Order: sequence, then structure tokens, then C-alpha cells
Amino acid sequence: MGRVILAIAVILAACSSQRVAEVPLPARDPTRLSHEQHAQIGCIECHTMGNRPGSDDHKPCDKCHAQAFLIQPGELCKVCHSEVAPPRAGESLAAPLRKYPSDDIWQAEPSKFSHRAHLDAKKLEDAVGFHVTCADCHVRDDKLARPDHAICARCHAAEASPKGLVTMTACGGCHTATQQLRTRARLIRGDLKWDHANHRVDRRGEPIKCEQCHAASAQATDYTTHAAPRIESCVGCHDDSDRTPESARMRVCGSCHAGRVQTVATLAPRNHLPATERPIDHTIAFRRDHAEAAESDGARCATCHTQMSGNARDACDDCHQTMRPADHRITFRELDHGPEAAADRSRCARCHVVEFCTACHSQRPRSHGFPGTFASSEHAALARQNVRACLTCHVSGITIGCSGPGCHQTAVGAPKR
Amino acid sequence: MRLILAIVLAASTASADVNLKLEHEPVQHLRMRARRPRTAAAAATVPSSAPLPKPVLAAPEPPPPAQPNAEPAQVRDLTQRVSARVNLGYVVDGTQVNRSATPAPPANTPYGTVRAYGFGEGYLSTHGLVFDSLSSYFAGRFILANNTKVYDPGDSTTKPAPPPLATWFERDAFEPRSAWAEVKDFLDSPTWAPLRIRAGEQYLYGPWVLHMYGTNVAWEGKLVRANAYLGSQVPDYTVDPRLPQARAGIVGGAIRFDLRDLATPIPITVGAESVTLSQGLNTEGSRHNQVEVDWRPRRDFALIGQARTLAGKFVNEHVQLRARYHEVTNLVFDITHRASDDWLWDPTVTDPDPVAAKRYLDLGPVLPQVVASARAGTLIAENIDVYLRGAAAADLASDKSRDTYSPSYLEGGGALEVRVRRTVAIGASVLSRQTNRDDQVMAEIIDVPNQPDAIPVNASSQMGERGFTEIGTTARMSLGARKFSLLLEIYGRRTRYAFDYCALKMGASDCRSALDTGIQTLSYRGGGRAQIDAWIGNRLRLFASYDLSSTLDFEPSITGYKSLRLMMEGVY
Repeated sequence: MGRVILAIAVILAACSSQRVAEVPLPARDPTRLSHEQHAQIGCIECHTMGNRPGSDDHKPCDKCHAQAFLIQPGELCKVCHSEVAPPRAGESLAAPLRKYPSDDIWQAEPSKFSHRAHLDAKKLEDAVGFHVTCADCHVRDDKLARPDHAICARCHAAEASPKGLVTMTACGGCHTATQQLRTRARLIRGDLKWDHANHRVDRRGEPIKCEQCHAASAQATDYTTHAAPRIESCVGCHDDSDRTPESARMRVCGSCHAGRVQTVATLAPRNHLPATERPIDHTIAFRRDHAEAAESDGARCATCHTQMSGNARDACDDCHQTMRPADHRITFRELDHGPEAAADRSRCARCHVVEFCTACHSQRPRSHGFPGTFASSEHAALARQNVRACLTCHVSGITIGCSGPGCHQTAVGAPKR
Repeated sequence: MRLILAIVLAASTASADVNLKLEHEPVQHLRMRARRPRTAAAAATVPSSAPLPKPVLAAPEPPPPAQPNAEPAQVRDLTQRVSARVNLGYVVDGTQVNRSATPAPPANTPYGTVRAYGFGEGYLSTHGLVFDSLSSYFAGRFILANNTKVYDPGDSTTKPAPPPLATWFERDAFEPRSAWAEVKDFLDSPTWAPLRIRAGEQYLYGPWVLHMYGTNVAWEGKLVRANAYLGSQVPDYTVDPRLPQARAGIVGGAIRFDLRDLATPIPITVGAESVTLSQGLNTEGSRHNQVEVDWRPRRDFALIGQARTLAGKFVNEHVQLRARYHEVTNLVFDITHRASDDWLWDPTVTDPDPVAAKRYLDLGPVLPQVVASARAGTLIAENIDVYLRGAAAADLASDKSRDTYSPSYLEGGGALEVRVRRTVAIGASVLSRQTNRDDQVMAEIIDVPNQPDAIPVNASSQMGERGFTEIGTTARMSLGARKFSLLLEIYGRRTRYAFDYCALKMGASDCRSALDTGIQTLSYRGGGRAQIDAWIGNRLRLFASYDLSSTLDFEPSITGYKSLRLMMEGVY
């Protein structure tokens, strides 16, 4: 039967379709310049690496679009200007520029920069005789910053480039002629407040290595695989009293979130909690009295516990069919559960029906050994110590298998009943 | 080259944003792409209205690659259409036979035989698999017992070896525990959205725990929550088809009004529940009702009162106060009064059944009792988990009706767990219960050697333990939730039994003091446990547990129990 269940489970598991997130693609800005339509023009005809394209009195755009600059402002203007209003009397033309480079969700001519290739020290040293670290590209003026072309030029300028490296004379060496969605792989967003400057050393003064948070960066082969740091990397330090002060622990929401207040009702997501720890409210007392919490918010339990029914209602057996109370040790099972049942039988009845108890109690106890030996002599020592153990099953006065001379009689003058 | 590098470095003053602006001369000798013929589209004076080239899509939100030590934010997707879990395990139980005991145990004592059995549990749940509103759940378990036979010198035959440890697993069995289907929010009208119907083998929780085959119809609105159920009791643990399985019929229901959802909120919930059981095997026909009032003036404070009736009489009253301060400090205070007309064990067993020795679970008649208990715990400095508990029970029966199973007692205990490293915590616990037995010194039965002595009457209040104290200590190492954890535990218990018998010393005329008895009334026993729980990924869990107990006073032939439990769990 077990095999049948297993087979059914495997078949059903295999039949379930893999879910794919259907996310509609974001709209593209129709006014944005299409690199594809300008592919016949060399990159540096527009990108002089010193000025914004067109900033020199619309050069070189006016080579082709000269007519558009001579008429009333139109759609072409929106490529660079957020607004072009005809000049009022006595005023000059107001034409504020759009942000450049654009941070539109669609990224044009994306770089195929590989962190993995640049951080593979051995391979790099073998190839060019030196290696780079994070700070070689990401530090400018003692501040962390995203690298620009100038940074790349340290190694990739034609004059500086060791043999075998891509040189900046070939734009296509880094940039691909396509559009792709930016990954937006950011951890710090929303109301999160964060500063690299505060994360250079830990509480002990030990430097915090870049890869401690950016572990995935070293494996990224391009921007689409470049993952943001995960919250788990924060947890490692922020719940370590050696590395983080009390005021900056993960449980203090305000240490990272500007707009969140820690309340009794809030509980940090599981990934905010130390991997070695239960939720903070899972104290010994909670373990003893968690029934109501489980009933009112079963979904929270299922975050960590394998609640198979996935249903918060009447689901105690989801866990407790398997999980036993901590005091149900081997001696409890064999010896000590009797006094517990006598003291609080309702506790037993929460999980066990009568038949569970009788299923064991209908068997011959281990203490009885073989009937002959035990009945004739062995049981006396045990009975004198705790005769109740006998009378839980045997009835005084009608002792099983014994009547008449040589058998026990109910005590004379004994107990009050 | 150095000059160029120096120029570049000196010029690198751009901001954090991507900046193409250079303060130095651009790199010379840039190689341009070959000019291509100009197209008509490129010659347009406005950005082309022609369709944009099809972009190469990166994954909209690429999942971050797995990192070492990364922990799943949620271990199981509750909306997953099909979930399954299978546990497969193997248990070896054994004892150590004490060959030096007096009298020496038989050479082939069956309790020296190691017993093993396999077991398994299976779970399967579906959500929205056929219809969006349909869920189903199945849970069951099986036992494959190896029925070892041993030679019995008493009648020169082989007999099934009794298990070293108490277990009902004396037979191969498959036992479904739950098998139900449920529909919820299955009607188009939002008015009917709170309606939920569950049918099949299921558990119902409340003032009574019911395991039944049947149907439960529930309405789970904000203001009103109600349910009604109809079915028959599941014959738990009676997997032997030869046993009669006439089970009680069950009909019941409950309704709760949460007045906090009124236009003018009142922090009170009132509810009533009722269940009626028909006659069945080992079950008397009975009707139980309970009313409950729950007052919560604050989120972290609750005062709950319950009263239960059986056959129209109030038989059980319960008041509970619960308070919580912040997340980690909890206080629970309970008072329960039980009348002599209350059920014996659960709603299905109401009759003391005086000749029920065959049940081997005769805890005597229900006696009136009041039990008060308090439990409190908190977390100090995030690392010290403290828990205290205390309870007192008063036997309200008259002197003549007292018995050994419902004595007055006083109980105290506590636990402490301190995290000493990020991955290591040590704990200690203590529990002591002192029971008020009737004074039996005056009624001790004199043990006369080599002849059967008198025995107390059934359930005499003079029998049993007078008290026990148990202490334990644990060491726990955890490398993370669902990763790897190790638990080591050692515990010991001292039990003090009532003086039911005394042995006269030579020349003594009575035995009025414990020193005279010569019969051991103290029992010491202890044990240890080691558990390993390891996960391989998020799908596979390995579990091993080894339990060991020390020498048992009551059975000189057995020096202790031992049990090895191995289990593998797969989760989908």
C-alpha cells in the first residue's frame, strides 16, 4: 500500500505543470532614439565621450535631421528635451533636457560586462599579469561609485590595454546592439536606508568584504545574471552581537527601514531572521501554548513548518500526526506516562483516543517476562514498590488467573475505600 | 601607458551615476564601425513610427542565483497545486538483559530480542487542481512489523516475541488518518464566499477533538463563524478487521459571534458548541454543549470563560487569562473545575464502566476536582529563554470516594535555554509534582515472606507515587532552519512511592516508619537522547534518533531500553 501511495504522489507531482510568471512587458518610450535605426552611423560620431550627443548645437544630429530643427518644435525634440515651449515675449526658449543617460526600463546597447571574468584572479593574472579587485573599479575619490568609461580605460584603452584584452576602440567589444530590460536587481529600495560608508568595518573594526554581501556578483556573467545582494547576507552580521550593536539588529526594523515601526503584531519575514534561530516569539512558553496562534494564523506556521494540507482550519493533525511533545521520551512512553495521565487526562485526550491506549495496554507488559516465573516470584518485588502498577490492569479481589488458597486477598484494614 | 593611466585616474571624478563625461582627452584612434547604407527609415526627420526592433528580452526579474547559506524565504508555497510528502522510516527497539539479576532471567528471554519495524507516512494535498475552489488532503501511515517468534519454555512452543517497547505496532497495517475534499468560495456571489464545505475523513477541533467520517459545513464570516457537521467516529487503532467496528454517529455544530466586527466594536466573542454522539463500540450515547465568552479589550490580553454540559448538567467550567507583553513575554493562567458527571476521557467515553479491566485503561471514576495552573515565560536579552509553570489540583471528592487517579497535587517546574554561541544553545529543565496521598503509614500491609500478601482495593487513594522530581539538560546545535540540527539530552527522574507494604525487622512489632519498611520506595531512572535532523536541499530530510534509558528498578532483568529510529522525508 505504501508503494501505491508513493507512486500516486510521484505521478501527481510529475503531472503538475510548471508555473511561469506571465508579466506583461513594459511599454517602450516612442520618443526615445533607436540605436537600431542609427546603426549605420559610427558610435563616436555621436558619443564623443565628453559631451552629450547633440549638445554641440544639435550636432551631429543635424546632419540628417536639419530640417526638423528649423521648424516648430515637434516629436524629434522630445528625444532630448522633456519640454519645448515656444518662447514668450521677452523670454528665451525654454527647453529643459531629459536625463542622460536615460534610465528607461529598456536599456539600449547594454554592456556585456562579466564580473566573473574580471574577478577571476588566476585567469586574469595568467592572461595579463595582474588582477583586479572590486575597489579597482568601484572606488573613486575614496567613495564607492559605479565605474564609468574612464575606469574601463585604465585597462582597456588602446594605449593601456595588454595584449589580448578588449580595447575601447571597438565599442562592440563591450556593448551589444540590442535592447533589453534592465534587471532592476536592487536590494535597497522602497523605504530602506543604507550607506556603504557605514558598512566598511563591523563593530569590532574588522573590514567587511565586498563579497560578503555581493557574493553573487563574482559569478555574474552579464547584467541579466547580476543579482542584488540577498537579505540573508544582512542577517549574518546584523544578528551577530560580535559584529553589530544591539541597536542595529535585524529585529530593530528602524535600523534599515525608514517608514516601519516595530509593533507587537509585526513579525519580520523569515528571511530577515537568523538562519539558526526560530522566530523571536517561539519561546518555550509559546511552544507550550501555541494552539490559538496556529488557529488564527495557520499560514504563518506554514512559512516554516511543512503543513501539508495548507489549510489553517482544523489542521492540528498536519503537524501533530508526526511531532511528539518534547517530554515523550523513551522512559515517558514506557514508565512515566501513567502519572501524567492521572494528573491531567485531558492533555492525553487532545491527541490520543482511548483505543490508542488500549492498543498497548492490551499487550502483556515487558515486566511480566514468562508467565510462570513472573507469576510465581518475580512480581512480588515490583508490587511492593508500586502496587498501583498492578491494579491499573488487574482487579483486586478477582485477580486474574488466581483464586482460592495461595492467592492474594483484598487487604483487611487497608485503604479506606 | 603610465601617463595615460595617471590622466585617467586624475580625471575620474564622476558621480555615482553612469557618466560618460571625461575631463581628459578621449582615447585616440578609436576604431569605428563600417558605415552602412542609409535606410529610408533612418532618414526620417522624427523618431520612427515604424515598429521598434524586437528587443532581446532579459528575464523580467531573473531569480537570484542560489547563494551559499541562503535560506528560503518560505519553505513551501501554500498555493502550490500539488504538494506531497512521504516519510519512510525504520525502527529498532531493544533492551539490555541483565544476566546478573537475581533471579537470573531465562537464557532466551524474549525481551532481549531486538524488534524492528518499518513505518511510513504519506501526505498529499491539492489546491485548485480541478476547480479553483477545490482542495483535497490525504494523510495516512503504514506499519510493516517483523513478527519475531521466540521459544517459550513454559509450553514448549514458539510465540510472538513481545515488543521491547510499548507499541501497538504488532501488526502490518495501513491506516488513513485524513482524506477529505473541500470547496471554498465556490459560488459566484461574494455573499457566499465565507462558505466552506469539507467532506471525508477529518479532524474537528474545539472543546472536543473528533475524528470522523462525515461532512463539515462552515461559514467563516467576520461577524459570524458557524459550522455544522454530521458523520461517524473513525475506528482509530482498531485496524484488526475481526474487531467490531460499530462506531458512534456524530452530529454537532458551533456558532461564534465576534462583536469586534460590529459597527460599534465590542471586544467580546460569544460562542456555543454542541455535539451529540450515538451509541457505538465503547461509546455511550451522549450530548455535550459548551458556551464560551471571550473578552479581549486589548490585542494582547484575553479572558476566556467556558462552561460545558453533559446530559443537561454543568460538568466542566474553565477560565483562562492570557496576556502577552511584546512578542516574547507570555502569561497564561487557568482554572478548571470538573464535576463528577464529566466525561471519563473524551466525549466518547462517559461511563466509568466498573468491569472495564479489559480496556486496561481504567483510571477510575471521574471525581470532582479543581485545577489551577499558571505558566509564564519570557526572553531575556534575546538569548535567555525562561519558562516557569506551576499548578495545584484539589481533590473535591469526599474521603470515602477518593482514589489514586485523581489526587490533589502541587506542581512546579521551569525551563531555561541559553544560547551560548550563534549555533549552540544549552538548556535545563526541572519538574516536580508532589501528590497528596492519604496517610498510609497506619494502614501499611505487613509483608510476610513466602506467602501471598493482601493487596489494596482497586484505585485505593493510598497507592501510587507520592511525588517525583525530574531534571534534564539539553544541548542543541543548529546550523539553520531546515539545514542541520543536533540535539543531545540527558535526564533523570526520582520517584517516591507510597508505603503500601512494610517488612518487619527482626524483633519489631510494627513498621510505622519508613526506615522500618525495608522496601525500597524510591526509584531512580534516567535516559538520554540524541537526534540528528539534516536537510539535503529543501526537499529531502534525514532524521535519526537514538534513545537510551538507564537501569529500571521495577524490572531487574532489564537494564534499560534502547531505540533507534531512522527516517527519511521527501517533500514536494
